[in-house]
This record gives sequence, C-alpha cells and structure tokens, in this order.
Amino acid sequence: MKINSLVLVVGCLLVTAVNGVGQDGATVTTPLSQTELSRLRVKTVSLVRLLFGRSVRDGELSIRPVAKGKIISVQHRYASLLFDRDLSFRSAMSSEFVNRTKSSGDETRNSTRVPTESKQVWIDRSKSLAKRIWSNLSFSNERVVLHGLKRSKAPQGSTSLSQTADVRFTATSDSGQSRQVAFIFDRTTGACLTAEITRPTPIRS
Amino acid sequence: MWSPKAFLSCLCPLSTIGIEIAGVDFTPHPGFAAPNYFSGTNARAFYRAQVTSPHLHISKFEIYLNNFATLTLNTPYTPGMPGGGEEPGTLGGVMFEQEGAVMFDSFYYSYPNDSVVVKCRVYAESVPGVSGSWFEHEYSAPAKNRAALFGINDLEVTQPPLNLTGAAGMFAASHSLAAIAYPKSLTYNWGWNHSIFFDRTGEDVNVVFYAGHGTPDAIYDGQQATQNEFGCSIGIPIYAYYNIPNPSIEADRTWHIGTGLPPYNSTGKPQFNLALHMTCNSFGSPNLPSGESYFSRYFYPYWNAYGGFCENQGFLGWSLTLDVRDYYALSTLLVDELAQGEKLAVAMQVMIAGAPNSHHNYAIGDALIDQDGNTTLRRVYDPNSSLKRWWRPIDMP
Repeated sequence: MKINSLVLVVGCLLVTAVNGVGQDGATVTTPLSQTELSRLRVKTVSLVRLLFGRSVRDGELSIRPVAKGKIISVQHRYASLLFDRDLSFRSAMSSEFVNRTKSSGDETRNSTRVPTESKQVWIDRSKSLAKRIWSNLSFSNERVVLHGLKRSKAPQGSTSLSQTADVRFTATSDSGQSRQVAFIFDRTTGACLTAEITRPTPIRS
Repeated sequence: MWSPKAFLSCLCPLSTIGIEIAGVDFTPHPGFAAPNYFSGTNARAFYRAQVTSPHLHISKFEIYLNNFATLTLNTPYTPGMPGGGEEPGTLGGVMFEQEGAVMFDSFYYSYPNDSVVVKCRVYAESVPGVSGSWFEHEYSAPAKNRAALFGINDLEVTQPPLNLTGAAGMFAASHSLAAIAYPKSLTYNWGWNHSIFFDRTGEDVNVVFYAGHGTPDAIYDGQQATQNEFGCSIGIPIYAYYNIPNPSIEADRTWHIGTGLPPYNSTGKPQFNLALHMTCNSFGSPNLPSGESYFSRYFYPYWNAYGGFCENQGFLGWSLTLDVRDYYALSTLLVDELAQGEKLAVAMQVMIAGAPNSHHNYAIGDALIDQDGNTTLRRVYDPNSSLKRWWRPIDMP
C-alpha cells in the first residue's frame, strides 16, 4: 500500500512536470533542456567576466527556476544572475554587492566629502557595458545618482553602499521596444556591482 | 543517580566561568553572555576547554548539537613543534587549551518543544601521545526561532534609501505597505482594525516589515496611538495593546510568546510569513539609545543574547512606494525565496525581476539591503560559499 502510494505520488509529480501545471494551478514553464543549460552556462561565464571581472567555471554554477519557472536563477559565489525563461539576461548582482554592510539609524548619516567626478563618466561606462550585453540599442533619459553619504557605524573594512553611482537610462531597440537599464558602480574602485534591465514595455502608439 | 558533572552543570549551566571536570576546565561562551535561548540563523555554540593537572594535552576537541557532531578539531601531540606561547594554547607542542564555535540555524529545531543541547567533548592526555581520557560538558537552551528580517519603506523617492525623514505620501504608502495583510483580511471577511491585524492577519507571522515615521512617545507612554496621531492605518504600541504589566523590552517580548504576535509563531503554521507594522519615528527615543528604541522593543532579542549587532541580520528597504497591486505578488516572491533558504539579497533580486509591469520600474537600487545581504531565514550562510546548510564552524573573537 505504501509502495503504491509512493508510486502514485511520484507519478503525479512526473505528470506535473510534463504538463507544466503546478499544484496551485499556476503555469509552470517546461524544464530547461540540455542545450538551454549549455547556453545559459556560456552566457553566465561571459557576463560574470564582463561585468565583474571574475572567471567562473561551469561546474561551480547552481541553476534553478524561480518565480514559478518564469525566471532562471544562476548562482555562483561571485555573483547571482537572473535570466528570463527564454534565456535573455535580466540582472546580475555581484557578491561584493551582497556583502556590503551598512549601519542602521539615520543619526549616523553624516554627510561626507566624496569625489566630485563627472556623472558622464558613469553614463559612458554604463552605455559601454550595455552595448556589449544588449546589442542594437539606443539610449535616452540618462539619470545618475551619486550617493555620497557615509555611515559612521559601518564596520571596519566594509564600504558603505552609499559610496555608489546608480545609473539608469532608457534603452530602445531597433524594433522600438523600450526598456529601463540600471547599473550600480562602486565609486571608489570603479567596480560594477549590479546590472539589470526591465522587461520590454509596449510601443506606444 | 547523582553525578558531579550534572551537579556542576546545574550550578552554573550557562556561566562564562570555567567549569572544571576532573582535569578539564570547560567554559561555555567564554567572554560572552551565554544565551538564554537560541534563536534565528545566527545562533552560536561556543566552548573553550583547558586541561588541568594531571592532564597536559588536548588531542581532540568536539562540539555536538543534540548529539550531532558539528565541529571536530584534531591536534595530535607532535614533539618538537614550535611553542613557547607564541600561539595561544600551544606550549612546546602541547595543546593545553582549545576552543571552537559553531553557528547554527535554530529553525532546524522545533519551537517550542526542542531544546538545543550543546556538548563539548575533549580527549585530554596526561602523557601526551600515549594515554588519555574523554571528558565532556554540556548545557542546553531552548530554540525559539525568531526571525530577524524586517523592512523599512522609504516614503520619498528622492531621498536616499532608508531615510526616515519626511512624511510626504505617507498615507498612500501605508495602504501600499498594508497590502500583504489587507487582502488577507478582506479575503476572509475579517474586517479591518488593529485587533484583527494582529490577532488574525498576524497570527502566523514572524517576519515583520516595518515602516517608520512617528510618535515614539505613544510607545513609551503606553498609550495607544490613534490613526490621527500616526496618519497611517496601522500602528499601535504593542505592550499597551496587550496590557503588558511593567513594560520593558524583555518583558514585552516574553509576554508575546505564544500570542502569535510577530515574530512569534505558535500556531504550527508555516514557519514564517510577512507582517507589516507601521508607526512613526520609532528609531529615536529619549529612553533608549537612538536608533535602537522601537526596533529593540519589537524585535527583541535582535542581539540574540550576545550583545552587539550580530551578523546575518538584514533590513530590506525601498526608496519608492510600491504599488498596492504589486505588493502582494512581490512579497510572495520574496518569501518563496527566503523559504528555500536563499540569501536576502538574492531573494530581493528575484523579487524585483519578477515584478509585474506597472508604472514603477523596480530596480535593485530601489530596494537596498541594510546590514547584511547574506541574511537568510532558514540557513546559516557563508559569504564565501554558495552552499546552504544549517550549521557551520565559525571563528570567534
């Protein structure tokens, strides 16, 4: 009886996987094929090298579906990347970003002098990266926020996330689809911390 | 049967004072206040052992959690090894002192039934390398499993993340923030007031999203604030509402055990869920160190009984007002990831990527992690590893 139940449960799970319908009735996309997995690994290795300057090996990647299979998560100790189910790149976040530590409490928000670099530096850097990641884009609506606050309670050795340059702009493809692109850079080292792009928004008539 | 070890353990089960057991001096949590309970993903078991006459050398040092071996240090006697006291614990190749620590996730155990027994076993040698005996000492503390994640909503898009000043748009934001609880209340036709929020929507909650701005006096005076005072829909002084006598941080939290009030979960329902609490200016108070007042009260013991801000605690905040229609879906994505032991920062990333299209373009820069992005609710994390597990050895200062 127990064995029969087990078989039944396993069978149901298999059917679920094949039919692509989850327990809650929500649509679950089909699992990644070996070809897709291979493509995903290649893309991940390239992106991590391009964005964060890190070398990643295939075997170190952990790949799993999230958000009911609509998004594919690729984890590595250097970075966390998300792809849409069609394997288009959505976002990357470096482990350095994750490890940033700040103190809490607004009483520690003492303004401090920060480098007075040009915002254009960060815009150019972002566009350069964006062109290499997503081809055939034109850019508009650039916005840069240079965070220059320092948290006095930040633990020794840590860098406040406030020492960052947040860059956003609109990227429009040849087909007219518009997407928002965002980068975060470390203003001290120049390192890229995050990169992301939103879903395409419909063309406005 | 009477045993000297048990007797000594009863006398000083959690002391930081060394406890000598027939030739080995055990000190649980040396230099730290020992825990009254283990809670969260940064619970720590810590022991130091020193040999006393006639023993000279520790060749094995082990820490067990409920008889599960977590840490084993092998230090075989090696004649001629450099010593002379340059390294703590060594002298002429003899290891007379050893210590080790393990971080673990208290969610591995069941609240409120489980106690975590921390045991230290030591093989002490009277003739180094030749003969010795096993010695052990243990103490226990209950697992209480309080989550330590909360969020702050920044109410002004133009302000830096987690800035609690300014009140523009607060009322609208309150409804956005309430989205996780509000539909639940409406779905079950519970109505909507303070009591319902805490008694019903919060009954299976132990992760709290918190929004600042406000009236600390209302909290400290024990007076229930009104909607007018707060200008938002949720926000009550917790101990006043529950009529807690002699309010203090610890009394508050102790009183809440079993109430189902966040972050406690006494219902047997899923181990964590989201709640929202909104009050104002709760990060400042004349009665407690600035920045720790209401936070301390509500989330006690966020220090986890060790003092100092511990690692593996994260604050998740938004610098924009989330759309009420999106908030429930976003929160669900976040919780799903956290439930699988994912890091807070990664869960946040998934949440943003999975955000429905709306008039907001969510970005990582809008939802920043304060404190520690490696925070997990279900796993002990290791910033240097993508492995997820419920315990790991750590270095203690």
